[in-house]
Amino acid sequence: MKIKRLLAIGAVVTASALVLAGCAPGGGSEVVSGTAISAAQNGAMTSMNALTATGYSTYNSNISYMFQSTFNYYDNTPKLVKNTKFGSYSVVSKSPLTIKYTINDGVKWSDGTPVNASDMLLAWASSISKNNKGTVNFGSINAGSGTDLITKTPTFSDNDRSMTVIYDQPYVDWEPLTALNPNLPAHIVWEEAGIDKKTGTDAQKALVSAIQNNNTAELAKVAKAWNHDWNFTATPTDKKLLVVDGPYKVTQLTKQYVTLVANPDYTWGPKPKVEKITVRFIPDQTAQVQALQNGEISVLYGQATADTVKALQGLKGIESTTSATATFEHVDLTFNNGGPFDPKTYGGDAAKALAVRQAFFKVVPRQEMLDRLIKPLSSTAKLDDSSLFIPGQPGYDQAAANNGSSDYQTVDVAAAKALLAKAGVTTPVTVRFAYANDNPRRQGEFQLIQASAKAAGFNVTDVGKPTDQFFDPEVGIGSGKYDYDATVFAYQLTSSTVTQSEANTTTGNAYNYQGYSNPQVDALWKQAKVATSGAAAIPLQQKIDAYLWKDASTLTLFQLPDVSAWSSKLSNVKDAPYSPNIFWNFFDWTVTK
Amino acid sequence: MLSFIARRFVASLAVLLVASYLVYVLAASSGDPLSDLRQSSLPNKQTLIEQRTALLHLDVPPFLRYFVWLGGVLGAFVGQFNLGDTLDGQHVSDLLGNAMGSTLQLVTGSLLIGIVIGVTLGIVTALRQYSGFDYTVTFISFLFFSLPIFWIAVMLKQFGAIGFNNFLANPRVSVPAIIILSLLSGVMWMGIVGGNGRRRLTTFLVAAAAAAIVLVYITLTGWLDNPSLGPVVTTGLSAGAAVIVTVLSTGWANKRSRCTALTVAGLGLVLYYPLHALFEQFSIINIFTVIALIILFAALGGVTGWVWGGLDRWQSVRTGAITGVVVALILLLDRFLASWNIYFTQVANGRPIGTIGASTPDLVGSFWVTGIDSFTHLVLPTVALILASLAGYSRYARASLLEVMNQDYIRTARAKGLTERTVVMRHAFRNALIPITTVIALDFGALISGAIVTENVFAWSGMGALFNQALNKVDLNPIMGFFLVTAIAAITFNFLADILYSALDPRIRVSA
Repeated sequence: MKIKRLLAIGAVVTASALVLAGCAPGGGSEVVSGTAISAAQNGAMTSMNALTATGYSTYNSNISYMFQSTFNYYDNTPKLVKNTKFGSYSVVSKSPLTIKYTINDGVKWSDGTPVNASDMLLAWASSISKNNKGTVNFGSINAGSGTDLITKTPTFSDNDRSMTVIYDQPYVDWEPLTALNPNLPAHIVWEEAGIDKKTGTDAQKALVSAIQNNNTAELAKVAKAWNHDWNFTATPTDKKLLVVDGPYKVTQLTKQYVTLVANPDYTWGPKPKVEKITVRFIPDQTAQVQALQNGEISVLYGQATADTVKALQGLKGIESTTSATATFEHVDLTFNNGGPFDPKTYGGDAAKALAVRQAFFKVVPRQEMLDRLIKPLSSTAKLDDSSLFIPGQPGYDQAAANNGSSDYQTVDVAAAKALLAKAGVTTPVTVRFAYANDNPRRQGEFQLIQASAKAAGFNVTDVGKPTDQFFDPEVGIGSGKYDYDATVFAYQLTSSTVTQSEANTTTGNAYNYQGYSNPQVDALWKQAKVATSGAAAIPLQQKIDAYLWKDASTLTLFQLPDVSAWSSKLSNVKDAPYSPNIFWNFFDWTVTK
Repeated sequence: MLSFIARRFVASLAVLLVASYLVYVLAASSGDPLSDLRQSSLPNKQTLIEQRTALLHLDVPPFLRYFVWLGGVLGAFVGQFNLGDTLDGQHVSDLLGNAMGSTLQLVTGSLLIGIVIGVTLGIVTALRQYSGFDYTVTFISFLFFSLPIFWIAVMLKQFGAIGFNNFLANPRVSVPAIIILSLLSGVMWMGIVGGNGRRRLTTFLVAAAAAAIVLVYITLTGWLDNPSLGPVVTTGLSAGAAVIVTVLSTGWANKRSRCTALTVAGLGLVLYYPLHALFEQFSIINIFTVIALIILFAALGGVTGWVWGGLDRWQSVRTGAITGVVVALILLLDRFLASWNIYFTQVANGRPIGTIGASTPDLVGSFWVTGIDSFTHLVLPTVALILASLAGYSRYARASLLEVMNQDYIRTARAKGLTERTVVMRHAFRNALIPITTVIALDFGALISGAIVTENVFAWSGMGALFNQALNKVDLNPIMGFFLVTAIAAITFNFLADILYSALDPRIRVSA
């Protein structure tokens, strides 16, 4: 009985539901959204201060590049481009080297406070060694670099918009050295330090006087704030930390992405055309390619691998290129181990050792290595013919034409044999070859060299080690306990500074792993370091480069390629050799629907 | 019991100490945390090396550096808990909190669904032992078990995300696809239901026809463009669920229980419009109100069962409560689908299924839209994890049930004339669950350690990613933080598994 009643009720309810079915509830306005370009990078942003030792990573630098303003930046040539809308710098005097930096009127932090000399002074104070140890410890990546040569506290002028610095001795790399760019807002650093309640320009002045008077008690707190307060992996609740002076502002940060929204006040530099850029953190390259294919990201870049390059080819609506990076492979010979390339082996006969080195380089199959290992990834790749310049960089072309690299373009077994015969060395000559043997590219390089050198009478033996041991300070290439005569690895250049290659080639330097020594090179480095500008140092660098080739100490092979890909809806995406790589011209990116 | 717990606790602590020391020393000797600086060509790299050495106490040999770390952990007793910093200057304790949250989000769903599907498959295959269905399921589950998960993940992305999203641009199922899918459905159900030739044929025809009808309907009406259930389908599904719950819970013959379940399904229909009005109040609808709603429905079902009463009142209450939960879930599904079109067009730009991350960046929306967003981002990693874990659960469940089914008391139960449902569900299934419980308890412990490969492929920043990245950089503090959490979870759940076992199976005592 009950069942029947129930069924009846059910029938009525169902019938009425059917009648009402025509007006099922709708959704309404549920979404608040904006348009965005989404790019990918391999790792997460962990700090808005990319100049601390802990925050110094490509991933932080990429993002910083988009929310900071700088006096200059590298384009994809790579050449240093000045941003005169932001400010200018000029050499006031060459002796002592005096530079005046001026920030233009109207440049301001996103909270309205003007960007001025106080911000540059903080940048200087944070990067000198004195303030990077003991009680005052900024923990800056620039500690111990060229700013240490500015020992006198810089002076202000032009209503605190200009700062003049005096170098104690000439310093060639003052221009690409970005340590004096305003990095963090001085007034916010002061406020975060919590010394008093001053804000805005008052805080700037307070910080300036603390630096000028070297008030270590206050500077210790300032340094602590500078070093720690900008390290976060989620949007901070303290919005002051998000005050920036660049084209974009950070609006949201999570462990998986960071969102940058155009700074409406920004007029002091190339103005970006895209309202919002989201950078997503995707460690796996295959995942990046699939995300690009699925429309979740629009731009990706990274080290070119056969898998990625192949996966990107032929994808609809996606463009991809490969380009050379500032990381290059080179073969180094050891001069001081009693091996075949050491004059000591031949009773100090330098000419004999030189002939053996030259003979070995004659049979290093550079072109074949390029064709077999790099061309499949990047069909436009070329040999790198200079040890100090990368192709495209000012000075490279002339260096490559005159440094003697033309002698080593192709394998010349006959010439190698002739050199060995002239030297009177008995073959086979055993060459112990060190390389990172868990790296397939290096394995390939070793095998090609081994096969090619055999014809000339070199017996190349394998003393490779896994990457971590290869670079290990206790047993690796710098340790002095790793016995090898030749090795291959890569150097990465991070800027066009002159001095960065000095350590590898000067006599007795700890980073001169091969024991190379040439008094002329040492003397030239001394001159180059004190040249008045990067341009003035180029002829000196070219001479050094020529010596390196003439002495057959190091043989550059090729630059490692990067791959970049983007949705066809995007225009003007280009990769650049130096960090921030693909992001270098983010302000040119445009989206078409 | 107490002495057992105390002894276990002390022993666990000792194991933890020794293991952490071993892990610390092993991880420290796995590489060089300064290698990136050593390879750099920066002029001031000596200074940078010194800075990092000071930050991480690298001048102290690992054998002793461990005690620096241990000191930070033991600081917990004086209120100064410190797990140290990472290479990039983050506090490990903060990172762990974040990472655990996203790992739980990723793994919990797949674990629960994996258990339900795995155990169900195990039971069905055990009941249909050595049938074609049994062999097929075994083959497929072992196939997924043996495939590397990164490969499964890449394939899922290719077909489940990129392919499916392309398909959604014009969601029409082709005729050959309809035929193949219908035949597959027919074969699958035929295998599950079993029986004699005539029954098999009927099952095959019904299942194939049902699948064909649904697929043709979807294709002809373009249902996938704007999917919705509406009150009629919602009620139909609820009624179907009521039937299934009744059959499994008490058997269809139990009239009170049957009526309870159907009443609850009817209640769902009666409440359909009021609930939808409530669902539109975006300001009050969040995960908590929705969970409260599900609990409310369970309670409502329970009360309904109580009112219907019957010989064994609690049976009706149970059936009502379970049906209530299922009906609530169906109603929620209906509401989520109503927002699908908005999500599809305005948030996802026509490509809903995601391949990376936990959510669409910067999405601000109602609970329904963000819920769909979580779903579209979770679905692939969840499926990948389920496929990989299916074999384990289904084989355990199958073996366990087969063993129980051969016990004397099952024969006795059959001999005294109980229905096969009662024998399987009440006497066999419950006892078969005891060994599985311990497996599941251990899996819950392992859950917190995350899924290293899956997290990497799907760009989730959980525990697995934390560990992986730290190990690559030889960053000891996060490795140890990870170890601490994982080890404590493993020890705790091992312990719980032991206690649970003795609670479920009176033959086992822990006082030994």
